[in-house]
Amino acid sequence: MDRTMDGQEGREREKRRNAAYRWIAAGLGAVMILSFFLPYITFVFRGLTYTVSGIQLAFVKGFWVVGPQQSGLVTIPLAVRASIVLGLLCAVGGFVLILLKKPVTAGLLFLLSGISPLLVMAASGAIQTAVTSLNVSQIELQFLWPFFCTLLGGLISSVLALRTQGTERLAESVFQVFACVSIGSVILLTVYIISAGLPAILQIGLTQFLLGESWRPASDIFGILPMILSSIVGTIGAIVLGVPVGILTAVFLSETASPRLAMLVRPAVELLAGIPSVIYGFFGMLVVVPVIRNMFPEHTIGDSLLAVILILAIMILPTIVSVTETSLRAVPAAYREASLALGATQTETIFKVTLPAAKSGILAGVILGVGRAIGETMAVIMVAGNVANMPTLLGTVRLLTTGIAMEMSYASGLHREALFAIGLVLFVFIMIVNLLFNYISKKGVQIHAE
Amino acid sequence: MATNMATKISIQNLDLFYNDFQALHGISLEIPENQITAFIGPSGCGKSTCLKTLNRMNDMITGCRIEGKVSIDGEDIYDPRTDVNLLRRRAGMVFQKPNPFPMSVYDNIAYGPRVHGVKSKSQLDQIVEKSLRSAALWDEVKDRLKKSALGLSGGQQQRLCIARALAVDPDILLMDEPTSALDPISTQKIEDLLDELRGQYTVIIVTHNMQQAARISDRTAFFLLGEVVEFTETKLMFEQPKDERTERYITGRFG
Amino acid sequence: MPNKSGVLEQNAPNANFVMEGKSLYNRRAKPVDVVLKLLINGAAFLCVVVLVGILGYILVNGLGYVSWKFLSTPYSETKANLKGILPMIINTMYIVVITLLIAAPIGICSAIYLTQYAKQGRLVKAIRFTTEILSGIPSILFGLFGYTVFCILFRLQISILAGCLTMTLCILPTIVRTTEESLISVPSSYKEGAFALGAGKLRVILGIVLPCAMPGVLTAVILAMGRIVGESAALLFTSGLAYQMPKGFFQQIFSSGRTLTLHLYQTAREATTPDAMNIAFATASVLLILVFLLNRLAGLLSKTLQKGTE
Repeated sequence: MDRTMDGQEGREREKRRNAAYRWIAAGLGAVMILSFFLPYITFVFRGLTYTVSGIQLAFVKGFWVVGPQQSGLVTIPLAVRASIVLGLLCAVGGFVLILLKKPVTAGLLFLLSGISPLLVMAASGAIQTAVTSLNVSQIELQFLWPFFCTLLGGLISSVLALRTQGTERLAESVFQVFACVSIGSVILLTVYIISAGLPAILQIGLTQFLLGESWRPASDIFGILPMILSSIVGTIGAIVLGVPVGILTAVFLSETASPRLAMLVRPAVELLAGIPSVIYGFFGMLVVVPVIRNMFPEHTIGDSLLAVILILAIMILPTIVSVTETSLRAVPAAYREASLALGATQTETIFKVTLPAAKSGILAGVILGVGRAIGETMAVIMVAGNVANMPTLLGTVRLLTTGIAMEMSYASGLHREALFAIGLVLFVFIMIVNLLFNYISKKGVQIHAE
Repeated sequence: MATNMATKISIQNLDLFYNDFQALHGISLEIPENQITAFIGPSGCGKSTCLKTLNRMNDMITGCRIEGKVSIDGEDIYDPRTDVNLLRRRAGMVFQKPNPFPMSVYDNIAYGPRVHGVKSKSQLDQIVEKSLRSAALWDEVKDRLKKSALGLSGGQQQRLCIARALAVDPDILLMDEPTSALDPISTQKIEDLLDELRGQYTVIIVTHNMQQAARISDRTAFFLLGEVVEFTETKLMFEQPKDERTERYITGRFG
Repeated sequence: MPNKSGVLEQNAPNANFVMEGKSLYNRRAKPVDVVLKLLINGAAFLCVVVLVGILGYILVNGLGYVSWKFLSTPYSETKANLKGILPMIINTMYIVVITLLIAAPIGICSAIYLTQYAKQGRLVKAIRFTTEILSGIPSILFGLFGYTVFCILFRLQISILAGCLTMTLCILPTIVRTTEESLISVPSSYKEGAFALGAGKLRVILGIVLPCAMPGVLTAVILAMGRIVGESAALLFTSGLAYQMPKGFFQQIFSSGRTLTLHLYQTAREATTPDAMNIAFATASVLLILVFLLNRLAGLLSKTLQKGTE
């Protein structure tokens, strides 16, 4: 057979190929090490250019900036130094290990080293901020080719190193890296939101921030109680209006409707779920707000908490309907049969047996709806009026989400940090909602498993 | 035993179709009052289907259609004037698998009476106790009335379902293989219970188990391929079956 | 025997509760039932009415203004003859395509790793948990994150690329989860069959598992497209509000550009004349049609998926 004939020869060829890959990877590793000693970044500052190598960036203290009013030492951020040292060490480690024929670890180290320029890039933003804060002039950073050498060399050499272990191993590693990217971004997002939001809260004071009743960024007064309360009241209102309608619609779809009518209503609910939130806002702005204005002409301009509640109630409908319908369908037919066989009518069966049996699923749907309502931004911003008042039904309100969206484009300093802090508060709310959802939907599963 | 032979349920020329498939062919039975009637036969022979026509549980199956007449106490249950809910209240049903509601023992029993308009707490208490006693379950559950019914054993759950059916004052009990999901000891308890209920309720029990039919029923109907082959006193059927097919079935030669 | 006494009680003539006559011929509806039935039907009716109301209101006011000229002209706030939405359409396409180019490979590879390689232990559970949590995070928080990390930290400025990276984070959890589900639903017998023929793991995954899961993966991608087209809060600070025509194919990626949703938001908020309102209506109509076409496509795909598994 061909295979056995080729086997010996094929293995030989593979060996030679792997050796070649190893040497190329080692060569690239050497280039990467070298690139840290070559011109790495150029600072363009008042028309002058300063070029530093990576290794300089890691060990110089900083540079003096002499400005018209202030002068100061702009230190190189620790994160920049750390990234460069890490990148260099990883490159060296990878180089040594690939020569010692440990390709898997070497590949990983090469990859880390290849990522280090990105970390440097991210961390060096602080230099720019520091220079700008001395009010001198803008400083531009230009990254030179050795910088990109490290980046590309890292990626290529890690792939080559792993390739020597066979395609299977390489593929697994690639999949693994992508999975790490997904998970890493989640973790990064969480860490970031917390770390960006905390400083302002600490500076303003937790109670002052959360319980302060006025929001006046111009005078450095940052109290978000009105926004928190408006968000909560708006969400509760949407739940009070949306949940009954949603549950009854789900009952209609899963219990009482003829298949033909269900075929009409179900797509309608699905379409509601697909409408972009800006369009809800647009509709609210042009229809709901004027209607409210005309109903209570003396009391409101139309943009109001009531408008927010109405729009949010419509927006959470599809979520409630689909989750409730799913959990109603999961209720065993035996319960319905037992109830009907006792002489209960269909409606009695639905309200006394089927709905109670599906209650944990329905609750999970409601919580999902809460999450959606509390996080909604663009629809709400168009109907809320956006003044940070304490919530009244017909008054204008500002919610947590709209608070961020309204001012993000021009805020700076503590004001901007305070907006991040609002983001953190929103994040905490969502986390609580999500954890509740998780807890309840798991409990629901257990009940059905019994 | 055969002293009271008034007819409770009368089935005349009953045909039943699932869409194009005919599941029952010209069934005619006169079921006597306050006796236990057993439906036996191999699986798929239509005995459960026939049972479900008696409280119109077949209404829920789409594409199910019947011809012929079924009457209880002389009233046609398929008459447009018939209140299905009242019918089902008078003809209680116990299913193959115990199906208590996911509620407390008390609420399970009280469910039926509440649906039918009983609101007073003391009256409900009374009904719950009486029904549980009738189902020989009171002593086992009286201390855990507020606990979930799903925590009971399979046999207890099935007796709970019987108690639940009794709580709405039926005069007919339809039982669809009530012991097939139970262990022998629980089965024994249910059979004892049926013995207690004899003479007060018109019981129709579908069973796979011929010995069970022989032990507890007064009359037996043998179903085969959607037809009633033989319907007579149980003793007669098991000792001297008239039809050859019945004989072959009860002697275990096909099943 | 205790149950004996129960039976004796039962024998007494007093029934559990009073029945109104014994006759079955007593058909009438309970009033509560009628009311509840009405409420149920009313709720379903309300859902349909709300949908028809929103759709009708926007399409009736907007469709008349949608024309080839509207779709193919650039936009200018000052010039009355330049009120088209061509740049927004182009920007939206840019964002959809680039986001999917980044997010789809990452998402699909992650899903493959999670279902085919990773040991189904605590780690995978933790990962699943985090993706679930992430899918509930409101898009404004993604916008906040994207703005500071991509626009400022990575110096991408407010640009389409920054918007794409932000949207990648937004849709990644959905893509991972949906792809995972469709990968899991591939019968393991297919895999075993291929392994039995001596195929390597990678070849089995790429040749057997992934193609079988393809309709599910495609559905996920199309749903993600719908999400990107409809997204606004995450893009407000990241891809920005510029409406100039692209100057160059690659240059556009690094410059700010508003999508259809943001165009609607901006024109609707700033509209003072009926003409400006017409633009908003027409944009909204185009947006609605686009989103519904995508939803329809996803629906059709998942139907073929169901047929496939049956």
